[in-house]
Amino acid sequence: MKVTKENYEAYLLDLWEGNLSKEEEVVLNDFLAQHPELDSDDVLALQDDVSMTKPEEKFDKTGVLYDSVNQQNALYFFVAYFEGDLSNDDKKEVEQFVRDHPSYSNKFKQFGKVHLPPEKIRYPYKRELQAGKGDGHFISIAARNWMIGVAAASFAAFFWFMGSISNTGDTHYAQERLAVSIDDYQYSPVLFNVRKDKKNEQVNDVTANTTLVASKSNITKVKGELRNTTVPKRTSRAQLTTQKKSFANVKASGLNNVMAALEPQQNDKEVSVAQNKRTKTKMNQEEIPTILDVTAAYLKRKKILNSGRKPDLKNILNTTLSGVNDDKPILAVNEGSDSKRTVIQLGEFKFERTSKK
Amino acid sequence: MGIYLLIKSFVITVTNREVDRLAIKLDKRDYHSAVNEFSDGLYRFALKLCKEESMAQDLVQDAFEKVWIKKEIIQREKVKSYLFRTVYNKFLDSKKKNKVIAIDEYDQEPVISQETSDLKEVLNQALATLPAIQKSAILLRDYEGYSYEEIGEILELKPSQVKVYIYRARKQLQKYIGKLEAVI
Repeated sequence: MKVTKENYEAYLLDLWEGNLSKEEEVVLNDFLAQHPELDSDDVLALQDDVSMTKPEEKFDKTGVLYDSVNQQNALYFFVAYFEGDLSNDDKKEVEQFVRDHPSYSNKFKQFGKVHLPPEKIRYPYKRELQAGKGDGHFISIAARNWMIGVAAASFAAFFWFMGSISNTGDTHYAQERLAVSIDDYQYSPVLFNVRKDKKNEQVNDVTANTTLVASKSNITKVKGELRNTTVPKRTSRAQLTTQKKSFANVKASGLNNVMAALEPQQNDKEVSVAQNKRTKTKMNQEEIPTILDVTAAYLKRKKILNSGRKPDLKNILNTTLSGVNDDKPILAVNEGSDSKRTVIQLGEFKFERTSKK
Repeated sequence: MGIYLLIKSFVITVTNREVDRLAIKLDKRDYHSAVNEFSDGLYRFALKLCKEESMAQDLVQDAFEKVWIKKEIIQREKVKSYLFRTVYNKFLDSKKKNKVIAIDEYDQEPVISQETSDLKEVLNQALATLPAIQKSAILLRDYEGYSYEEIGEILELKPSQVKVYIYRARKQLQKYIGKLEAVI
């Protein structure tokens, strides 16, 4: 061990901490004896590096002393004054303070105005709240939101379904049978849809319509033939004459087209006025499509059902699951003599099903 | 010492049960009178708090629903504070749910338009700038006339904290009034 000017401070620290052996202490003492300039209190007083001075700042206690009102706590006392938190003596003191300090007078008055004025607001659904409770029925906000959501979803689904049907090109006028006059002329009322203005009961056009599932080509509109023809509820003889003329127009021109469209295989000669009765009878015998038929036809168009009205698995997969792996799922059906093997590949997943016949 | 504490806790439990048993619970008639008596004030409180009619109506309905569900355990005299506390808590929940970041506008300089000269309008403007806790304290104090202790019970604060919030709110309202007078 060698004590030098560079490391003697470290040895001194070890000495103070009692970490030096007797030999080391002797060596250190020898070093200090050789260098008396280092063995002074000034050099060795490490605490001289740290200076602790008393802070000169003083905290103004008047602001937090609430024994009496002063300029620092005046606002607090003003609030307390108008809140009714002060005793009578304290109130008098505050009033005296305001008199003594006119600059606070304005603020004091302002604090007197910071109370909300009375305001009557009625809860609009008070009765409902009571009625609900009285009957024991209560719809909570969460339940109500849920119900609204379900109703909205149902409406959306309904309109989507209806919209899908209307996009198929079928006729969807508001259906109404053409009053008595049509029957008088023995035209099948079932075949006609009439669009009228509600205000003046005018017939704007007549549309022939076979069934809802009929293709577009089978529907022919007869526009303008009955235009401006009024159909009163009670028909007088004079009015009937007018209508006869109007319907004669239909009979002569438009109606023939209608009938021809309904039965395209018939030629023009066959569609004569004389045959209208027979045609009408034939048409009446056709069944009016039920909602089941309409739905089935729609699902067939969407390739969900096959021609036998059974689920078309392959098309369902191809149309509904095509987004799974940006490609159409692969479907393979191998029919053996006694079993049927169905394989579906969806991305990385492969489903295989073997069923015995 | 241990036995003493055991006996003490037993006595306290029994006493609390007895107090609960003797406390008058809410029945259907009480509920209806609560609707009649408190729904308007509660709606006003909710409306001032959230500034949106539909939300305020929902808050009021929610509060009464909760009272109805818990009518067996709510004491009659606590119904009003229970309603207000429910509205306040539901309002805070909805704020959290909707991730509305509350901006403390307390220190913002009041801005009063030239057209605004009505004191009531100015106070409402100032009220709108207060944080929810201060606003609630002021509303309960001024409209419902609650004491610091009662407000503390509703807002789950100590009375001294309520006092501080009211003091801060009053100062903010005073700033607005000062500004209004300067404009005039």
